[in-house]
Amino acid sequence: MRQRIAIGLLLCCAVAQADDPPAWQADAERLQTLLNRPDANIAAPALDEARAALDLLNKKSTKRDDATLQSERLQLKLREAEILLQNRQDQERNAHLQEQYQRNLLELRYAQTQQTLLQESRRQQQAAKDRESALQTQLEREAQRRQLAEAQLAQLAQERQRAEDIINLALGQFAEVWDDSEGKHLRFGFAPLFGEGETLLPEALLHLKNLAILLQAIPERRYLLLIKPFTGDPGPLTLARLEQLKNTLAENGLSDIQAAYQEAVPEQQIELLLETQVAPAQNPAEAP
Amino acid sequence: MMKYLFTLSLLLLAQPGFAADRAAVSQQIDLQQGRASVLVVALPPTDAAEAPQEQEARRHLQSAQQALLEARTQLTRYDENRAQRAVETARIRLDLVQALVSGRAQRDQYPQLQKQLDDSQQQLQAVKSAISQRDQPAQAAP
Repeated sequence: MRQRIAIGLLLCCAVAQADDPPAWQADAERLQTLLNRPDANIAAPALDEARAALDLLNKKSTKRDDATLQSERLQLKLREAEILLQNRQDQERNAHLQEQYQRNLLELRYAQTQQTLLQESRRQQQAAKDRESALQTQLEREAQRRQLAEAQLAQLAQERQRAEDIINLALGQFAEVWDDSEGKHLRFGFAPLFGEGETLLPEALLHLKNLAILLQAIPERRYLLLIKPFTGDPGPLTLARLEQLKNTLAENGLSDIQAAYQEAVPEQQIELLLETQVAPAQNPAEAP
Repeated sequence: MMKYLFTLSLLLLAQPGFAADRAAVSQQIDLQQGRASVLVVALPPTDAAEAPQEQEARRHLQSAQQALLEARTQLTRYDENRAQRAVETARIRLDLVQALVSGRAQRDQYPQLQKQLDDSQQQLQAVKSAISQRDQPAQAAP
């Protein structure tokens, strides 16, 4: 009987010794790990309680019922500590996300403002470019118009010159013809017109008629008959001839002919000057 | 701090050789019962898709309620020590449930926050790339 009791006790001790330490060894390590964490203070009460439970478990005097409770307490408190730490981590992570989100929102608002400004500036740039190209087009059109006008003007001048040349050529049959700044000069000798007398020869009359027709084709001129004065007086013959010439031309449509004396005209010759008018060169092409 | 002191007093009471005070244990049971009913409300009704933390909380809450029942039973049998242990079991479990419940809002918020952040990130990226694309021809022009 005693032997049995002794064996039973020994077994109990053996079981107790073999069983006890590993049962919460893992929990003790878990507790140590948690205590070593830098944020352990967040779960300080739970960890303290877990440590207290471990201390009680380590006491030999603790009863079995109580040991069960303490073991449970140790495990649950460790779990609680883990949860609390996890909660704090979640909270920090969420706060971080929230913060990042706010930063993004700010950045987004900034970027959107930037985008709006960019769009606006681009729109303005485009508008300015459009205006510029419109002006450019207008300028080009005006330059073209001016070029065209100049070309027309040049052509007109050329045509006028050609007309003048033709008239000069025609007038050349009757007289020596040249143009200068004064106007158009026609120079005749008295002899072919009057012979020796003071009356126009018949063929000269026809000649003058044709000349008058030609001269009327030249617009807006003032006619001036020029002769060289004799010393003192031109003489009655010259005056009579001059008078007859004037009358004949007047009869043929060239009215308002003035007579003048000029030194440059040779003896026995007469000059008809078609004076250039004050505004000789009109530019009809320059009108808009 | 109060809770801590309270825990210590409970520890003392749980020590062998100290007879648990009947009135104190009864008070303890009432207190933990109150906490349990608050936590029942704090936990949402059972949902098939609930997180493991909620499942864990629900499990511990149930066993805390059982422990409280057990404590009351033991008290009617005048076994204050067992009643004391049972209420202590309930308290520890309710502590854990409370920790689990208190983290729930943050846990639930997380996916939404993450999505919100991702969305804003995408939006930002879109605007930024729109700006840089528009920027290049404008810089090349002059």
